[in-house]
Amino acid sequence: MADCDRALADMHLFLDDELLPLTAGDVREHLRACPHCLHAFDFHAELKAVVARKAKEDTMPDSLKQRLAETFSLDSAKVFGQKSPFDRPSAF
Amino acid sequence: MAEQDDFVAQAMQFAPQLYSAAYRLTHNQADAEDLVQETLLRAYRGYGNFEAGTNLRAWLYRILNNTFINSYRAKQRRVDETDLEDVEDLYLYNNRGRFSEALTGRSAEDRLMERITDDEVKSALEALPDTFRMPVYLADIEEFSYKEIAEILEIPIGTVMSRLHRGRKALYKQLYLYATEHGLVESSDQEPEHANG
Repeated sequence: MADCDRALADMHLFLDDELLPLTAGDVREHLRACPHCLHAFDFHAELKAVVARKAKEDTMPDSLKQRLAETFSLDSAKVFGQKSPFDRPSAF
Repeated sequence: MAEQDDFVAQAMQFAPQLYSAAYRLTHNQADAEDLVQETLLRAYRGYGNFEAGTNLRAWLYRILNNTFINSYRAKQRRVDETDLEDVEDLYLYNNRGRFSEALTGRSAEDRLMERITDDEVKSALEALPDTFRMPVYLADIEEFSYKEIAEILEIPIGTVMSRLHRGRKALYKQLYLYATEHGLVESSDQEPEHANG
């Protein structure tokens, strides 16, 4: 179906939030009417989220924190902390 | 010094994610640390040229990418941009039904999603040539916009989109291949389905 082809062609742009609002609206309308495409979109949205979650490094090594602290005369504990806002939270 | 304090206050918060990106680029901790260190030093030296209020995060990633290209890429196997096999659209999605439901009765997709390991995702990313890995990493892990990615990599937006498209397809295909290696796919028919036109 031409509508499905069009929607699927735009899928990544849609999931990346890069479609113009009018086009995004058209896609959304198609998804409301087409469970097949909705399923494909959901699958890829989840796949994207899974990849993002699993590829993130949680924390910077202490050796690097130390080096940066020395190079930039930082208070390492203050900038990078023990329990630091600068450590990215782990997945689960 | 006011300028250094300002740099530290503004830029250091990005160090952990810069490290993450550096690791994806260099594949080892020692080089990743060096790359981050060098990137932040260059950023510090060039901070006078940075226009306050503009996109600092993208600016830092651009320095990271350029530093990587100039200093570290030569060390690694140079993979030609054309080395990326063209993968058909929706490859992984079209083959998701092949993931075995035998044991727990969970849906094929749930099994796929939960069984992909961190290492497999990281390896699949690392298997991509730099040219494709960077846009995928910046979009999918770091959530930059296409415009920001174009700025970071100093390429046109159209190029960002096409490399992203090809890179993701290759990534998802690699994840499928890992799944087949781990026996997640029924062994009776290993030959993957091809999309109908």
